[in-house]
Amino acid sequence: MMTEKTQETGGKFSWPGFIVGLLVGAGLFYATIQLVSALMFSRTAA
Amino acid sequence: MGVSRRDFLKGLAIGGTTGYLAMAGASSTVLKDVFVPPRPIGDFDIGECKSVKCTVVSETSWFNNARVVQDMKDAGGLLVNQYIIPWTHEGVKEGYNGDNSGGFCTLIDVELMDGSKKKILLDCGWNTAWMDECLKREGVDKMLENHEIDMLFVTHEHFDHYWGVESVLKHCPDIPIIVPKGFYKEGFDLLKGANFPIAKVKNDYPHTGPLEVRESGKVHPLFPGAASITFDSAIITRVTGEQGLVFNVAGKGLVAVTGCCHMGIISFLEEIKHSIKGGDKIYGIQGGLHISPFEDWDPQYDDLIKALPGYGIEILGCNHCTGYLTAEKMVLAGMPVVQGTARFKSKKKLYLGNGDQIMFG
Repeated sequence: MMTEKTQETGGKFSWPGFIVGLLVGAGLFYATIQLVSALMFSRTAA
Repeated sequence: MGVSRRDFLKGLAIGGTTGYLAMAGASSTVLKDVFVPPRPIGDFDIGECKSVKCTVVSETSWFNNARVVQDMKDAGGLLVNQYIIPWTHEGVKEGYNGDNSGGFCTLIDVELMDGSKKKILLDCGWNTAWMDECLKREGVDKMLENHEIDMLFVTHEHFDHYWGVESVLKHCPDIPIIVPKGFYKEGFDLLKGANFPIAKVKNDYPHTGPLEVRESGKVHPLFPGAASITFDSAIITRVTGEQGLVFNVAGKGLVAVTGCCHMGIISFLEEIKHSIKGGDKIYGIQGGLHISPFEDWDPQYDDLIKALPGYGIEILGCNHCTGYLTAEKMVLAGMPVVQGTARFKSKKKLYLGNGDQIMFG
């Protein structure tokens, strides 16, 4: 009987994913703050 | 071997959350100035003057606090139009011949760098009988008749700062007048000679000189070393807009002169600091600071007492709506409050009273 040997690839922490996430998360916060401050200090904002 | 898509997404989620929170922390601490850049010191050059002398013509706007508050309450509260409030003009024991109304008015003498002089009358009081006496006491009536006073600068339209305009116009009907944006029709009508019988205010001497309404949101130069700033302040008894004066005394720093300062003394000082060249040095203040005008106290006022020393003020002249309670607390906090002489119906020596003078420069 032949059994197929499969390589286990799950459960491994992805550092590339973490780094990309770090940059995306930081960028997202920066963009949020820029939007909020633009609205807060806008002379035309209601 | 590469990672699976699922593991990459897990790393992305953890990294994204970490990055978002880390940036939130950094933005409020080490990167604070990057995210919220500090407002720069002002660069509007108003020039310089040698000295500024303020003479308190009258700082007693009314003589009985409880009475003036009750007048407003009886008329419907603090938001009622001042021109339809029946103010108490008789039967007040501490009043001027029984009249509770007095007024606020300051004479400002400025010496320019070339030695020439400028005079500004800041506000014109309320009760014309009282103001006639005060103007005479300080010789302002003669200065007006001789056209020695360059302008009447009205800080705001409040009864105690503006309704005594007849006392000024009877001596000099063509004096240039500067008012802040926000003046109501009644205010302009009073200048033209209107009569408001409910409030018992009138002017029998129509203004014939130039009238300027100063817009808010910018620095208005007056003459070398002097400027004004107008604020869109909403004030009790349906008054809108207030303006204050700023002088740049050579070798000393900036001096803020106020009427009531309803815009808030911190707001006024911050606007000076960030609008006018040399704003990093506020040398002195004079006028009403509007902190405890009715001698009541709110814990939020303590924050003002704590914040004011941060401006490095060397001479603090105050009176009128500052309140004696505030003056006491400022003295206890070690602030350089200039004392008065308690003459001409000013009640205490805690701050500058009627007839007192203060010199900057």
